[in-house]
Amino acid sequence: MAHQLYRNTTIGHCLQESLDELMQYDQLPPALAMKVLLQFDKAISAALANRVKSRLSFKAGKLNTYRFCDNVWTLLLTGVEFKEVQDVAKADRMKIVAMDGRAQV
Amino acid sequence: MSQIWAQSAQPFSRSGSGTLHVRTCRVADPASLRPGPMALVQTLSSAGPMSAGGGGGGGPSGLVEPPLVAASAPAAPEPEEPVIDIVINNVVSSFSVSCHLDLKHIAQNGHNVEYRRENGMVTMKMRRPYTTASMWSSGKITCTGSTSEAEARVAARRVARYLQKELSYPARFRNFRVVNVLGTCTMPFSIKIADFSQKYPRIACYEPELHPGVTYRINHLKATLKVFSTGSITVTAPSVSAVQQAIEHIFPLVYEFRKDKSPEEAAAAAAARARQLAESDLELDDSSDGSDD
Repeated sequence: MAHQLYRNTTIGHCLQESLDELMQYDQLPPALAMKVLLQFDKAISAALANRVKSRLSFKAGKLNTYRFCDNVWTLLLTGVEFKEVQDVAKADRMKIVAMDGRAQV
Repeated sequence: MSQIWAQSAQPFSRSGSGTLHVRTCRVADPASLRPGPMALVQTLSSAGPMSAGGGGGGGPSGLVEPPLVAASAPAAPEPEEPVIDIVINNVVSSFSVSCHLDLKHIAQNGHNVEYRRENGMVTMKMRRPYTTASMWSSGKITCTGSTSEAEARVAARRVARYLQKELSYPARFRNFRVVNVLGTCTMPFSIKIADFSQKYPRIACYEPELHPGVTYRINHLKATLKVFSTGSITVTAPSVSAVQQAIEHIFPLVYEFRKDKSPEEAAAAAAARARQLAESDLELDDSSDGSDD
């Protein structure tokens, strides 16, 4: 039900690799692995929505490209500065993939 | 100071003013116009051929100096500004690339595109000139947001070139035509639109409960003008020259129903005009005309 956007993250990749390893050793049926991933999608969406309190703002030098297709926004920015109270990080290039929080997959 | 565009609804922001001031009609000393509308039309039509060359080109140096102005320049006790600036706000053009466009492919691989399936078209925005192109799968493209006919052509060609070069479509630039031009201008006087609409009951349409302006249609030019009581007039017509002709047509009709401003209002309007002129002269880097004090 929640979109599978967060599978392409560090934590999502780790989970997928772990599940693949377990499937390889026949310790986990593939159907169960699918269920785990679906539960992960729901859990991470809920956690980010409810349990994350820190605020981080960012400012970019330039928006190079934007794209909107199938309700997915892809934004490419350059010269990005992240600020959280004190100046935290800088990035030369940044890609944002954003999906509608209320929409169905 | 550049801002993060992801926050705002509009991905792009206008750099500087994008409006083009086409100084087309030059109205000479208002005192000489008072005798009647026929004298007015003559003045304008004599200014017409001179300004058509400058105005039709649509370049930033669209300032025209017909000989009439020299006569009125020394006599400047009138607070009324004798120049009517027609500002072209929007030029809409349409063309075809004569090949089928795979909208899904453009949406996934193109830059600065939006694809909403409910509209069935891909919207692509160009930064320079700042225009929006709407593309359909048939290969028809509509380009809006330009400030002159020449700019519209350039923008359209850039879109076609992008499709050809970046996305490898067998695109050809065909059937380019300007579909609509929107121009606005402000009269240096207010207008009594109720009386104006009553004098031309067939041609003018005034419904104050629906819209605060009079809709005046000029059939032979295919132009629609909206006349407001503040003296602002917006014109939509098939070309820039039609916009100019429409304003020239309506000026004497509207002049008849002018409502002269009180001296304070006129002085304030003149001050605002002078400020506007100073700003536009700084941008265009032109030497200003004789109306400075």
